[in-house]
Amino acid sequence: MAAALVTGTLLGFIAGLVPGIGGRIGIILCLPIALFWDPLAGAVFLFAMHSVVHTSTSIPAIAFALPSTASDAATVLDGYPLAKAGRGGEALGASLSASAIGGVIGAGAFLLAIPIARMLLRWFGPPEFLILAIFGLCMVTVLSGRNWIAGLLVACLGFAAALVGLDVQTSADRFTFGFHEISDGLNIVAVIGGLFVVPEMLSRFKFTQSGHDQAANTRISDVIVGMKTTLRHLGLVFRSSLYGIGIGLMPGLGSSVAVWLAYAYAGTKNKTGIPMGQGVITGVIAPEAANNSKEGGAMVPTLFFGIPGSSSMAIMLGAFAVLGQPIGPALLTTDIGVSYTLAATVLAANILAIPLFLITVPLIVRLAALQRAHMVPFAIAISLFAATYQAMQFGVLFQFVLSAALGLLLKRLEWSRPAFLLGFIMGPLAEISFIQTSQIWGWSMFLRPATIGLLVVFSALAWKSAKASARTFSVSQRRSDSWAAFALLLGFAAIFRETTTFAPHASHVPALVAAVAMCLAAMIIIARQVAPDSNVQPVHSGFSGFWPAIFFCIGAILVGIPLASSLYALGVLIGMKVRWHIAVVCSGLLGAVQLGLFSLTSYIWAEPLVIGLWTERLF
Amino acid sequence: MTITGSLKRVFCAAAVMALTASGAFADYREQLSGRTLNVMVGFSNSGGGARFWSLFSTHMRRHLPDTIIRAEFKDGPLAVTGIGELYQTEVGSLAIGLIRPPELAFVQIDDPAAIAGDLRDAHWLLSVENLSYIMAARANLKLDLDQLRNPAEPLILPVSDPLSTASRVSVLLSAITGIPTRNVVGFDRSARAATLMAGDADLLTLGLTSELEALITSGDVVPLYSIVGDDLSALDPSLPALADFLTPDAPESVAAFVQSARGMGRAFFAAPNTDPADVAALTALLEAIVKDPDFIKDAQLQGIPIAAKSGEALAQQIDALIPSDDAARALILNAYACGLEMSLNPRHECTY
Repeated sequence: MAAALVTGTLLGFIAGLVPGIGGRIGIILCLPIALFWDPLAGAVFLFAMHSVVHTSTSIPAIAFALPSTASDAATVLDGYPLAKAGRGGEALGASLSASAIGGVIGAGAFLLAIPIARMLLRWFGPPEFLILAIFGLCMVTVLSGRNWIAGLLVACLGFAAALVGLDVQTSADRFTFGFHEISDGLNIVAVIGGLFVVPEMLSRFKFTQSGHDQAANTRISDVIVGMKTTLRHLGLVFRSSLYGIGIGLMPGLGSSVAVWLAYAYAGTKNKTGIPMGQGVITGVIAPEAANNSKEGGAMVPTLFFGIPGSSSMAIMLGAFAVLGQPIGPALLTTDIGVSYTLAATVLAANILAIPLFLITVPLIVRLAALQRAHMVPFAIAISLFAATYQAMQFGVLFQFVLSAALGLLLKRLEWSRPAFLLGFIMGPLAEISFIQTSQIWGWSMFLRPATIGLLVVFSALAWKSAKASARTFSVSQRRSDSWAAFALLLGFAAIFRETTTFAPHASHVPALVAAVAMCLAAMIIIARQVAPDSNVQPVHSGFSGFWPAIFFCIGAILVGIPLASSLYALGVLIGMKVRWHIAVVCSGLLGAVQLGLFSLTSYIWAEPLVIGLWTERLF
Repeated sequence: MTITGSLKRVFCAAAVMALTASGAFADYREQLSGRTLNVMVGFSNSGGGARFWSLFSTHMRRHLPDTIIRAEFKDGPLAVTGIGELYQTEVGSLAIGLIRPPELAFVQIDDPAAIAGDLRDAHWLLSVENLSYIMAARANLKLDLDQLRNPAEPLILPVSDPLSTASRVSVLLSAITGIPTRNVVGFDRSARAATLMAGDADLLTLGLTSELEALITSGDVVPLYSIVGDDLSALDPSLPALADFLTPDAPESVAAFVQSARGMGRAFFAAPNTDPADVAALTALLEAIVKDPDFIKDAQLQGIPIAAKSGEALAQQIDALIPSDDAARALILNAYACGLEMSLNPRHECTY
C-alpha cells in the first residue's frame, strides 16, 4: 500500500508538471500500472496520483504562464506577474501550501460527509447552480477593478462565445455560421491558451535583464516565505476550500467554477491596493486551495453513489471497475474501512507532495529564468498540444489564433481577461440552470432551503463588493477604450440581429446578452464623451525574439514539433556557449521526450504538421 | 499488496490470440492498403463519444498501417447531412459511418425527405454496442400504476438534449404506458442520476451499469420496469417488463420500436454504392478489431463496454426500426405527438 501511495504521488506530480497531460490523461496512461496491485492498493495509487496533480500544475502556470486547464488559468493571473516581479518563489510556496491545506481540508470534508453524504447530495440542484452562476457573473466587477463596466462588457463577450454551438433546448445551431467543427462549442483549452498564454509569452520579449536575475535568484527560502504567507491567510484558504468542496459535491458543475468563485472571493478581500491580476498573492492562494479541496467533495458522490463529481472522477469510476474495487453505499457501512483508507491517501499524498515540490521548484524556476524569450515557442507549442490532443482540426487552430488576438487586444486595452473566462464558464451554466429551474420548479425554487441560504450569503457578499466598487469607480478616459467599445457595440448589434433568426427558445439568452452588452458599450462611449481624454497609455513594442518564434513554427510545420524543438534547443544552447556535445545530448533528449509524449497521446503531432494538413489526418 | 499472479498467463494468451488473428489481417489489409478511408462520426467529439472513437481509430490505424484514415465529427442534426454526403461519395472511394442508428432512424420516420438516403439501404457492418435499459424511479415515488398514470403534473424526466435517443424513447414511452412525463434537457449522465437521487426528477431511463447497480442497492433509485436487454441479472427477477406497463390499446409495433431503439448503441455502416469487396474487407477489419486482445484490453482499461453484433443481425434490427409501410410509420409519429401532448397536459389520452 505504501508503495502504491508513493508511486502514485510521484507519477501524479509528474503528470501535473506537463501541460496537456494533467489528471484525466494521466490516469488513463497510468491505469496499467494500477493493475499490478490488488484492487484497494490500485485505488490508493490512482487516488494518490489524482490528489497531487493540481499541486504540480501550478508550477508551469506560475513559472511559465502555462495553464493546463481553465482552473489553472486563475493561478496564472497573479502567479505569473509575481514571478515576473521576482517573487516566483513566494508565489510557488503560497501555491504549494494552499494546495496542500486545501487537499487536507477536502479529505477532512470527505470524512465528515460520511454520515450526511446522502443529505448533502440532495441539497443542491439546478436552482442552486443558477444562483451560483449569477453570483459568479456578478463577480466580474470584482475581477475588473475600477474599469468594471469594460469588465462586464468583456464578460458578455465570453458569454456570447460560450453560446456558440448547438442550443441544448432545441438542438438548433447558434453562431456556427456553417462551421461544423464548432457545433460542440468552442474548445476551452484553445481559448485559454490563446487568451492567456500567447499574450504572456509575447510579453517575455520585453523583459529586462534585471527581471532575469531576480527570477534566477529564487531560493528555497523564498518558497518558505510563500508558505508562511499562506498561513497568514488561513481564513481565505478555509473559505476557498469550502467553495471547492461545495462545487465538488455537485455533479454536473464544471470544476473550474469552484476555482473562479474562490478567485473572485479573494478579489473581494483584496486590500493590498494592487489590482487583481497584477501580482496579488491571495490570487494564487484562493484558486489553489479550491482546486485541491474540490476533489474531496467530488469523492462523495463518486464513491458512495457511483455518480462522478468531476470529469476526472468519471474516469476514476471506470478505473475502479477495471480494478474490481467495488464502490457504492457499502462504503458508508460495511466497507467503511475503504473510505477511510482513501481519505487517508488524499491526506498523505498532499503532504508527500511538499518535499517533491521543494525539490523540483528551484530547478524549474531556473529553467524559466534562462533565456526567457526562447521559451516562447515551446510554451506555445505545448499550449497548442494541450488544446488539440483530442481533436487536431483547423478549427481549433483558428480558435487559438483568434483567442490570442483577443487576448493581446484586451491586454493592450487593460481590460480584464479573466472576465471573459468567467463569462465563458458561467454563462452556459446560467442558461441551462435557468431552463431547468423554470421547467421543474418555477417560482417554488425560492422555497428550497439551500436556495434561500445561498441567496442570503451571496447577496451579502455582492452588496459588500458593490459598495467597494462604487467607492473606487472611475470611467475609462482613453480613446482606445471608446473605439473598442464602439467595435463591440457593432458586433453585439450583429449578434442581436442574428438571434432573430433562431427559434424562440434558442434566442432568449443570446438576445439578452447582446442587449446588455450594447448598453454597456454605449455607457463606455458616452462616458468618454462626458469626460474626454487624459490617460492615454504608451504602447509597448520591441518583440526582439519574435522572429525565432516564427522560425520555430515554420520548422514545426516542415519537420514536426519534436525535431523542430530539438533543433531550436540546439541553437539556443550553442548560442549560450554551452559545450557542443552537452548541447547535442540535451536537445536530443528534449526531442526524444516530446516524441514519446506525443506518441503516447496524439501521435500526429510527432509528424511534420504539413503532412497532417495535406492529408487532413488531423483529429 | 500483491502483484496479480495471472498476468503472465494473460500476456501469453493475448500473444497467441494475436498471432492467430494475424492470418485474417492479410485479406482486408490487401484490399484497403494505400487508400483513404473517410469516417463520418455521428456524435460529439467530446466526452464518451470522443473516447469511443479514439479507441476505434487507434486500433483501425494499427490494423491498417498503410491506409489513411480521416474522421469528421457530425453531432446531432449534422449527422443527418453527414449521411447524405456519405451516400453521395464516388463509386470506388472508401467511406463509412459510425452512428447511433436510432437517432437517425427517427429523423427518417419523421421526415423521410430530411435524409438524403434510406438507412435501410446501407451496408451495415457491425454493431459495437448493445445495451440493457430500465425505467427507474426516485426512491419515494408511489409506484402504483394508476397513480403514476394520473399525476397532477407530468412526471419530470431528465435528458441531455431533445434529439437524443433517451429523449425520443421517453416521449414514446409516455404514449404507450400512459404515464405522462416531461423531458427536461441539459442534464449530463452524472447529473441525471444525481437529480433523480435528489428527488428533483421522478423517472429516468437508465442503462444497466455497475453504477446503476450501486444506486439500486442503496435504494436511492428504484427500478420500475425493464425496457430492453438480456443482462438484467443484477436486478430483481420479478421486475416487470415494458409489456406489463403498456396501456390496453398501445400498438405493439411502437413498443417494439422503442425496445429496438433503446437497445441499439453505436454501429458502423458503409454507403450503399460501396464496392462489395470493400464491404467484405471493412466487415472483416471491424470484426478483427473487436476480437483483438489488445483492443479488448484497451476498451476495458478505458471503461468502454463493447458488445459486438454482426452486420446481418444489425441490418434486421434496422429494418424493424424503420417501418416500410406508411401506416406503421404514422403509428409511431402519432404516438410521439401524443407523448409530447402528454408532457403539457397529463390528462391527455392517446388514441391509435
